[in-house]
Amino acid sequence: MSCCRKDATNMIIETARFGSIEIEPEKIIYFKDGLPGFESLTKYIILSPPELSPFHVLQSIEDGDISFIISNPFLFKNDYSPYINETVFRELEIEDDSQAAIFTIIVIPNDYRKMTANLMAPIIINSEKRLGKQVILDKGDYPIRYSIFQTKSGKVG
Amino acid sequence: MLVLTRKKDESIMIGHGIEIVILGIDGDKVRIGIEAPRDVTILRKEVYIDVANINKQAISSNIPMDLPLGSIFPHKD
Repeated sequence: MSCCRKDATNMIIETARFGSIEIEPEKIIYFKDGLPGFESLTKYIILSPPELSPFHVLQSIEDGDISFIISNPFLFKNDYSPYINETVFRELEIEDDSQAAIFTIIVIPNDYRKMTANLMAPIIINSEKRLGKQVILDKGDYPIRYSIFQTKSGKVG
Repeated sequence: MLVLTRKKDESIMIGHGIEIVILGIDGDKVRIGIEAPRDVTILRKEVYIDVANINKQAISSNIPMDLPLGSIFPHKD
């Protein structure tokens, strides 16, 4: 309930990206299998500072050094239509599309014009039940490094 | 690691629901058939490794202050 902040149960975590932050435990998203490369980290929170919009940050609760910049893929690839196996929906207890959110992990190198989005392995979240999974697509031809800027200049990514 | 030798058309059962069949052998290539419950994820290992590697690159990404967000995200509301 947004009316009453339960400060007593809020957690403070130290993060590399934002310093010390306070989080509400009910906003923690559980990734049963972790993320590839970070299998032991299963608890994350999505931080959305307005100045980073339309990016968000998927921040590990268990290791403050680990966070990912994520974004809604439809903002730069509006025909994105990944095939998600129904077992993923079952695993995440998604019964209705309205519960599901989709994000893509962004890699931003020093030259930000070479920024890429991992459209091959989107993150699916049940925003009601707070369950998440990075799904590796086995159908369709979405690249692991989709160049956001290249697409803008007319080349197909 | 358990190591088994199999011939073409022979198979291996893992637990109750998973069966791996050797369909054919051609030089250094082996064709494998897999029967598994639908909730079992089956991936070529190199694909998983690629995703793990790009995730490891992603954690050091920073959003530059001078990023022209409007030109990247024309559909942003």
